[in-house]
Amino acid sequence: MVKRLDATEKALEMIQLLSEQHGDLMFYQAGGCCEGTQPQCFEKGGFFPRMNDVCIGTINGYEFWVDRDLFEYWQYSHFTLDVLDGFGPGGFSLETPYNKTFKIHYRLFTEEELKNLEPVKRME
Amino acid sequence: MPNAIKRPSFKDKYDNYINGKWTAPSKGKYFDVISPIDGKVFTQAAHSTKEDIELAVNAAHDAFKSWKNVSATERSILLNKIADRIEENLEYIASVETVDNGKAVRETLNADIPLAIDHFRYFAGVIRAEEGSATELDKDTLSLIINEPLGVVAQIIPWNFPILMAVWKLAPALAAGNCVVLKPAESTPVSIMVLMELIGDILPAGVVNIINGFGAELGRPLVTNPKVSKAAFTGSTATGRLVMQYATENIIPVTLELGGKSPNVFFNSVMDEDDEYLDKAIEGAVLFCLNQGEICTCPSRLLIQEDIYDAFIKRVIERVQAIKVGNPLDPTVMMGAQASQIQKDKIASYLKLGKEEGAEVLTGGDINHLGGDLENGYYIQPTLFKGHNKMRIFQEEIFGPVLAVTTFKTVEEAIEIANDTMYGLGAGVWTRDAHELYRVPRAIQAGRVWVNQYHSYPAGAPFGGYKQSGVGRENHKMMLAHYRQTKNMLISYNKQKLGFF
Repeated sequence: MVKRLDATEKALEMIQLLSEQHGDLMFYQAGGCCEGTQPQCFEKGGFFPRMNDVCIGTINGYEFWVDRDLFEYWQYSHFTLDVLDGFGPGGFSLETPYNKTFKIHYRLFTEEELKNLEPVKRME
Repeated sequence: MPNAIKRPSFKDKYDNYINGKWTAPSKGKYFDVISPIDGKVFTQAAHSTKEDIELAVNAAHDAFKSWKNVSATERSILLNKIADRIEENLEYIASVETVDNGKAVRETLNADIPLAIDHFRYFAGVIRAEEGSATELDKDTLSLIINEPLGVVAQIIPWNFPILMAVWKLAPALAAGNCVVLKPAESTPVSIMVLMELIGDILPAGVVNIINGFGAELGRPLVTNPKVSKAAFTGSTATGRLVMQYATENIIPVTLELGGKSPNVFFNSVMDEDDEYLDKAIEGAVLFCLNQGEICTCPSRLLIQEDIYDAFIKRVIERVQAIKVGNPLDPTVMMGAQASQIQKDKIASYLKLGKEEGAEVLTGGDINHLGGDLENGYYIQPTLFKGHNKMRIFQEEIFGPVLAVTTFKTVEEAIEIANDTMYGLGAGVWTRDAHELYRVPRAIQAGRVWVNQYHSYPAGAPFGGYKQSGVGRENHKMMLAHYRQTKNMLISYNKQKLGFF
């Protein structure tokens, strides 16, 4: 089965640091102005996904949720969670006070991969 | 650059503005502020914590005890004084905004700051003419409706128009008689502080308080503070929903402005003549570059009727290629720098994505290397992609000078494509046909449809979103209702008892 989500070493280090500070975490990605379409990191349970939103996988056991409307467009892409130096887009994501910003690198799945993707979990 | 506006000087660091005083953050920490013009640190801003929020909210709460009794006449006079003070310092404030945000000074001089000035004057004006109401419900029963301010309001400001977006929220809140705790965006924290240096003395202490820092640390303590009676936010969908979620804690109202993917629709009649109207229409298509595309209403989807596509897009591309990009402090420069390195990276990944999705690059398509002192600034080439509405670059808000272009055959198809988005903030409709002029704007699900124009924001025209673009209407006196309670005094002049008990 092909995974929809991976993370870079740098992202994993940042997640480790944040979980020491805040406990269990979650990720959520939706749209809109400014920090829209950037992955947002919150304390686990700190954000209510919408009904039918999509969990595309976990990182260190922490769920990565995406907005159900945008999943219609994102379902064909593999997500790699990375972290960049600096801040800018805003929002309430937990990494920004450390002068860091999570970012997704996208890669379109091949035809072969699309036939063998891990199933996703929906918010019920 | 002989005519460049002088780059203003800044203090080494900016404290919070609490209770009319410059107040160091409780933990003594500051963060670096970078100018997008050259990518260099030019000052520092307070890295505040929840203790600072507490101080500011308490100051606002105390100030409200007397501010709520200040008459509409006096509030109006103060708002007009603020407008005059900003006008006297227009060029200075415009240059500060350009250094903080990176946008061209041509825009801050002619749009951002003049609009901010007029916004204060508009609300200073409307509150003088306002009235409550008295209704005789029956011969002995009178219903009086009196508007009362909410109290302390929390306002969280985006970085794309740091001063103007702050003023869109400040002016109606103050006009309605509220006190404010405002958090600027962390990437543009300074211009609002400079504004407060200039106007702070006009208002009583504690009426406006500004706290800098990070949404991750300040958003929740601010919105959930029991003394805060309302929250206003502009930014992304996820953060907007989080603000709304926090607002449930004390059941406080929220207004939200959350973005868009606005269609700009051109019908074939625009090319019936080669006249000044067509010239205006071409400019209208190129307005996706205003503010480097960092506008929630950026007309980022260009819909052109198929039979004029070739002729029309040729003119659009010529106009885009004539855009002068350079030092934002040069008043002849038309497009400046993106507001942060992260934002520039985000736009760059959409440029890559558009190419991978198979969209055709009509012009631009890359990072803009300006060399010299500007080489480390955050510049992107104005870019046109031709593709179809199901591509990600047509559905996701890029917030940069990137235009997704497609065609349609019929009016019905234009409306269908225009509405095929989760957002409904802005839209543009261009036609010489009188029926299309009315029918199409009515059919588009958006709060603001510009007809034969785009990107005008005069005070007095309500602005806000349908669908997932938000709640509330700024820029109009109806915003006062979002900053007020309705007090109903229901008075009986009947001496007879009910007879129930």
